[in-house]
Amino acid sequence: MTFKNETEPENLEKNGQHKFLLNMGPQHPSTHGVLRLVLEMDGEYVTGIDPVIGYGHRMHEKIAEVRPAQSFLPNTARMDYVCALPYNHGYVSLLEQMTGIEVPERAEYIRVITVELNRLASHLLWLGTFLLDLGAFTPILYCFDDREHILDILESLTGSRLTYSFHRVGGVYKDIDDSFIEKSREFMKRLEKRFNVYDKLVTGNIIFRKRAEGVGIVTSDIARRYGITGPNLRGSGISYDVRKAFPYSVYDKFDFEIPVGKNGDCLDRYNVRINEMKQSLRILSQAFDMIPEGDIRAKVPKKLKIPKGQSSFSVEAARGELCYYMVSDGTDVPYRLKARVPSYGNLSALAEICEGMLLADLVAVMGSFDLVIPEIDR
Amino acid sequence: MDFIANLPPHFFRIPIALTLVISLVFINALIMVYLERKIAGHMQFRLGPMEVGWHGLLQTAIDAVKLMSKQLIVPDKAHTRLFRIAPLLAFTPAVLPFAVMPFAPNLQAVDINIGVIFIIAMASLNVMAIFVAGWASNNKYALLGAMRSVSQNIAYEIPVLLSLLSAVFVVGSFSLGDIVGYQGKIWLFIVQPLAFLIYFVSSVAETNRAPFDLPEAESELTAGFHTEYSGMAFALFFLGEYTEMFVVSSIATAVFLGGWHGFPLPFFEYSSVVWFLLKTYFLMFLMIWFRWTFPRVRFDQLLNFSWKYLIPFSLVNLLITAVVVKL
Amino acid sequence: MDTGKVIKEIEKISAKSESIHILPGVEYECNTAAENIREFASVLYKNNYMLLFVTAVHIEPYPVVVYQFVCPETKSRIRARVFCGENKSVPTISDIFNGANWYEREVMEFFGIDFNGLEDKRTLILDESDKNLNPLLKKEGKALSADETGFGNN
Repeated sequence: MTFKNETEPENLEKNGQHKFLLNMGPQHPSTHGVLRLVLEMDGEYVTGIDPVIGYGHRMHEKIAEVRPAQSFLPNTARMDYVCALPYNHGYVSLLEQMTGIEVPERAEYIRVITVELNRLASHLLWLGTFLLDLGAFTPILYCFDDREHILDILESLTGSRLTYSFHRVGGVYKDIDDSFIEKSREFMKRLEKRFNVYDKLVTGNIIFRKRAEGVGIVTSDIARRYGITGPNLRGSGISYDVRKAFPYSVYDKFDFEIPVGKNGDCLDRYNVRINEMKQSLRILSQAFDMIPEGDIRAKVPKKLKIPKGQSSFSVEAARGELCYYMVSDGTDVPYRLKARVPSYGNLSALAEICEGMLLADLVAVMGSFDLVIPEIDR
Repeated sequence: MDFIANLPPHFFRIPIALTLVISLVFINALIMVYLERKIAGHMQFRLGPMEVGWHGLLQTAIDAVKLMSKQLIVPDKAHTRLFRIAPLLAFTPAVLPFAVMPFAPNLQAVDINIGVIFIIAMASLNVMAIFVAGWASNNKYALLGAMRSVSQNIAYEIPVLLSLLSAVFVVGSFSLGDIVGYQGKIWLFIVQPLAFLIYFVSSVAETNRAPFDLPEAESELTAGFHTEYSGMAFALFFLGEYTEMFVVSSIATAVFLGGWHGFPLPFFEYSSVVWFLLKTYFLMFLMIWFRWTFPRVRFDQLLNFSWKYLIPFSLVNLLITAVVVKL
Repeated sequence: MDTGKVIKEIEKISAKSESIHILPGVEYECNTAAENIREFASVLYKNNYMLLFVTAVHIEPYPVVVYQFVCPETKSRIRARVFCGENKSVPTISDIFNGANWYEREVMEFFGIDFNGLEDKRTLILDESDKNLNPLLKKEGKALSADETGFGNN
């Protein structure tokens, strides 16, 4: 759907139908950030969607080309600020892969632990905002309450609450201690109980089910054509998770499942994410049991020369597959860095999925997609 | 002095009643906003307003002062006159039903013989205000909200009327005084449980409260019909909404929950008023509870719910009532 | 589906695949001629691959467009590189993989590469007035050749 000129007269008359353009965003309660949707409306029905992005564009890819590879690390956390640690993880893993640095096992465990905690925080935030989009005010505060615990735990370790730069090339910044493990275990116990609360409050609610069931169906074909990844893809029944498909770090040592949906509607995506949180808890408890003693950081030269060549590294971020692709010319400054962010592919499919649905459903689908707009804009 | 004594009694009664009603409306809104925020807070594991006054008691008063001191911004291409009239239109009809409300055996401004009809007529004027507001704002979100409001109110006025009619059939009078009087023996809620349920659900929808708050659906239409309103004009819509809540709850109390009937309370000379208010505020508490628990329904689901379930059921209920009363 | 079969099929249509080397993270990588990329993409689409990203790298003399695909079922990744010609133009694959639309628009505004047949040629991330800014092109004389970047032999 394209609108050639947005300043055209607002009443579009097509086939005798009166349509109008509705500008949704960039300041709108449910576009979560700075997404703007130009909607062509027929009454309450959305007949065409044209997403306008780029309001939060910072040109991270150019910044990566002008500074030493290691000092780009803080920028990675600022792409997706809701789930920043996988972005750290992917970037440092890419550099380690290119330079051949061996990472101590304990460091990899700490990475997995922090990433999974961060994933939980991201999914909790999604749960709250998704239900807020559906008009339920209360769950978001419950979710923020839980998320607050994770942020406190991560703050005690990493020193920051949102934009972490915790993973370093060759390891991690700081070792975890017993109090961290204890706090995390306490939180995990608490969260397991909280799932019952969410279940009672949300999952069985008839209004919620009616709003989510059969709405915004993503078929596996759409998912393939648009490159939808992450829980949105798994909701459509394709069991693809980078952690399982191409095990990186120490993910191959854990016993966990990939929850998949069936129909690809909002309810499936909801269930997939809820179950994914439970799987994250499983990974966490195994990681705390299995974590070995040892170093947390390998020796890395201050000026990290990256050998000539190209490489890519994928990790599973909270929203889908995050892929870094780097070309190096042999210096310590990358020649080209591309970050393939999951929400980019997810959002691009919105126009096809939502055409012809009600405005309220569009909001529901956007909520279920878990979009983080600055990640798309980069 | 003779001159004053010779004036008709209505001359005094009406200003006094008006003053009382207006102050009731404002006080009710103050209490309700405070309760809403406090109850919502505690339902969400937080405290709600705590800063101004003891446990934030004066928060709403301060907010009212703030709203009064704000400028009313009229958008550039809005229809200025209608834009300014709409909040008044929302507020006035919401106050009028108090004229016939039986708070206590002797506390009723006028007991007209079509009291129920009068209240419904006044309550349904509210939709006009919303429509005018949405239209005059020259804002697409506001217009969508207004359109929703009209179809929603049309859909839900019918079950409200039908369920009230079933109660009226049992009593045999439209006068609210008679209806409350009839319930000295047995509350109509027990005779007509289905009618009460239908009435209450529909009246939540009539007052545009969540989960039926589609005209102002925040996540879809930013703020719906009052997107462009600020300051006191916005406050009047707010007042109208809370007054409407009070009105529908007190109708439910009067028609189904026995009105001011209740056993005499110790220490209270006028326990009937207390009973009336207690029942009304209990129903309003239920409305608040709904709002902070349920997600919002979708527009087509909302209309289907009314046309496919509420109206047929209330019609059947009315028919059965009519047959039983006739026998 | 067998990954080997797919690779054989690809080899048939992109006869120009010269540098085949296994890289970490990617099972198969090949260079494809610009005129073959559409056929390449449709073979992958038929074999249940999905598009991960399209990007470009500015090397001398002309930029290279890089496509990465992944198959969720067979768990294989394939990367294709298209060396642009003088006209800096590559056929679009946005009608085969619709998601490519956004990636191609992004590459178009960042690198000034023209995608033949791309319907929607508005800018995506940059402002319309910055259409010819092409921020990711290297400055005059800064761009390196394929060999210097370790980009493989062309």
